[in-house]
Formats: sequence, C-alpha cells, structure tokens
Amino acid sequence: MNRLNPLYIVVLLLVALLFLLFELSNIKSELKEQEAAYQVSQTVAKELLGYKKLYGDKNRIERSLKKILAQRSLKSAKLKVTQKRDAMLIVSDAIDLYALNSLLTKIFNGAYPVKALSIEAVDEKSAKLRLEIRW
Amino acid sequence: MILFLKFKQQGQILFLDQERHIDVDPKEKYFILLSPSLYWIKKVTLPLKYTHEVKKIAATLFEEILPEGNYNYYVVKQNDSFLIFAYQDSKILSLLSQKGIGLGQVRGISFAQFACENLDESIQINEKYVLSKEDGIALLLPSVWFQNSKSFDEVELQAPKQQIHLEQFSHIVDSKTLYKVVVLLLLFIALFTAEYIYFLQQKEQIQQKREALFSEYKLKPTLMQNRAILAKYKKEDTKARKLRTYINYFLKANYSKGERILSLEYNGSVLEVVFKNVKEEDLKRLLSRFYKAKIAIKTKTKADKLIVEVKI
Repeated sequence: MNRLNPLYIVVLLLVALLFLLFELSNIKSELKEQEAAYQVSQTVAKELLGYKKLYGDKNRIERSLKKILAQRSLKSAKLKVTQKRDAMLIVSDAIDLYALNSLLTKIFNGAYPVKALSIEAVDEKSAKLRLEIRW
Repeated sequence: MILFLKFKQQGQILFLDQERHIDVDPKEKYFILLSPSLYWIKKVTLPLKYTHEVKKIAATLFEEILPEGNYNYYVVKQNDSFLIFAYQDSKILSLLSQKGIGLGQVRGISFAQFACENLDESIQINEKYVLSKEDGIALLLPSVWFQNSKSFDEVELQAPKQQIHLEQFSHIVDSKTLYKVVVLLLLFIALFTAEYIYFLQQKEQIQQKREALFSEYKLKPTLMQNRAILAKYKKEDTKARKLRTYINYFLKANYSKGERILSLEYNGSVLEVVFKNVKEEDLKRLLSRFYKAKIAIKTKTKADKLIVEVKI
C-alpha cells in the first residue's frame, strides 16, 4: 500500500493556503465595506436624529408653537388657532405689522415645517394672515 | 515527487537486476528483492549505539567510494557492528519502470542481503552471475566459480521484514527540505487562520455595533430607507431656509415712497409676492439680492400690480 506522499501534503497545504489567502482577501474587503457602511450609517443616524428633532418631533413643535402664540405681543392679533393631528393652522383677519413681524421672526428662526403662508395687506398697519405648519 | 512505499501483504518475490530478464504480469503484485548490483553495502563497527546515529554519518562513511549521485542510506544493526546500505531511489525506480513494473504492483522492497540470511547455496541469477554469500554479505559473483547453483525458482525465499521506502524525487528535493516546507506552510496557514479569525470577529463586532446603532437611533431596517427619510428632511430644511431667506430679501428691500407689498403667498413650492406702485424697471433695485445670488424670478403684471414668483 502506498504511504501518503509528502509532496501531496505540500500541494494540499499550498491549495489550503491559497484558499485561505483568497478567503482572507474576501473577508478583508468585506470588513472594509462594512466599516465604510457603518460610518455612513453613523453619519446618517446622527443627521437624521438632528432633523427629526427639528421637523419630526410633533410634541416639541406643538409645545413651542403654543409658547409663541401665548406671547403678549400677539394677543391683539386675535389669532384663530386650529390644531389637527399633524398640522396647526394659524389665522388672523387683522394682525398688526409689529405682531406679524414678531410672529414670523420666531417661526422662521425656530425651524418649523411651514407648508403654506399667506399675508395680505389690509391697510398700512395691519394684514390678513394664514399660516399652516405641518409635521 | 517523493514516493514512499509500504507493504502489508507479501506478493510474488521478484529479484530485480539490470541484467536479469523477468516476465511481469500487470495484474500481479510483487515483492521486490534488490540485486546487490543495485546497492552498496558496508559493514562497520562504530562506537555508536543506535542505527539512526549511524544513518546520520552514513554518507561520510561512503565518501570517495560511491559514484556521483543522490543516495539514501539504510542501516541495520548486526551484533556489535552495523550494516549500511547505500542506494539510489531514482535508479531503482527507473529500473522498475524499464521492467514494466508499476508502483501499484509493488508490495514491498528489500535488499537481497536480508532474504539470503539463511541461504547456504548459490542461486543462479542469469547466465553470468550467481547470488552467493561471502563473509555474510550477499554478492553477485561469476557463475563460472560455482557449480550446482540452484535456479531462483527452486529456492524458497521469504520476504524480509526490513524494507525500504523509495523516494521518487529525492534527487530533486530531499525529505528534510520537504518537511521544512510543510512546517513553513503550516505556520503560514496557522498565521493566516488566526488573521482570518481576527477579521471574522471584527466583522461580527461591526455587525453588533451596527445593530446597536440602528436600535439606539430607531432607524429603519435598511440604510436606503433611512437615506430616503434623510433626503426628505434635508429637502424640507432647504425649503425652510430658502423661504426664510427670500421673505427676508423681500421685506428688507430698498423701497421708495409709495412702493409696498400687497400680499405674500407661499403654497409649499412657490413664493408669490404682489407689489403695488412698483414698475418692472424698479425690480433691479428692489430685488438686487436675488440678482446677486442668481436666483431665478418670474414677473408678471396684472392691472397696476407687479407679481413676482420665486421657486422654493
């Protein structure tokens, strides 16, 4: 009976080594891809979190809008506020320009998702307002 | 290639010699007895105990005796002395091939020396030579020196226990080198396997970190979905910023007396501003910021009103 040829063992080991090197190269590139994908996921996650806080946090939007609307400077505007599940409609037939300026400054600086805005001059000191914020 | 042969069953005993004709049955298995013409033998007494110690110095003991070639050595202890055999694997393998004996037919290979240990008579090998023992060493001697030699078939020979393993390519690469290569390859395999396992663990760690990240940030299962949501938010943010900037441009424009905004309307995609007492030629002054930033604006006139549209 023939004993196992050492050269066969060498060839077998060489094949195993080549296979291992191939697998190693595969796993290295997979790892690189996964690392890159993880970095991208991390960036996306952080950005998404930031935007969600700005535009997707219904409670924050509602809470801060109510705070703005409760301000003294807006009392004279007699704002009609209609709240829906995913939107808030602010309407005034006559808002004075000072109050309008104050309201718009706060809305635009506060990053609210404004879906529609309509301002129509009534006279030189007041205007009609229709503002829709939808989240 | 190096070939080792090991045999379990004894086949028909075949005396292998360059000058001996043999009929080979390709289906038959053979036990090969090497003729003394195929090996060199030396009986030595050395202050050594073990055969493997003698084997190490065998090459030096045959120095200047052997013709040039690659030799393997076989050592056996006999009382206080050692019998050392020197043989060339390639030469034996080549002869086997010449005689039409395939390696698969070979059950074992040994030296004639071992088969003749209890031999008292001479054996006729061919017309010229007989196999005989002189001082305990089996030799090929001229047949003319002997009378009444028996033919090979008449003698009952037993396959010796001492056998050699032929290394087919020992003249190219020796076993030691080959084993070193095997060890080196095994080392590399171990090293790369360790590296592979390390990378596999790293991969799993990243996978776990990714899962933790998705769970912590309450992300959708795929990155594509999350990117789509992010794109939606970015679009919304860009719109909000544009709306704020453009309204600011309109409100802080350099108005002359009588010029004013009548209305401002935003429907989610277009901002429309209606001016009173403003002529088209005044727009360059009023909307200089839009022109400077190269923002496209559309204008139209309706009665005494000038309407400007900007896409958000």
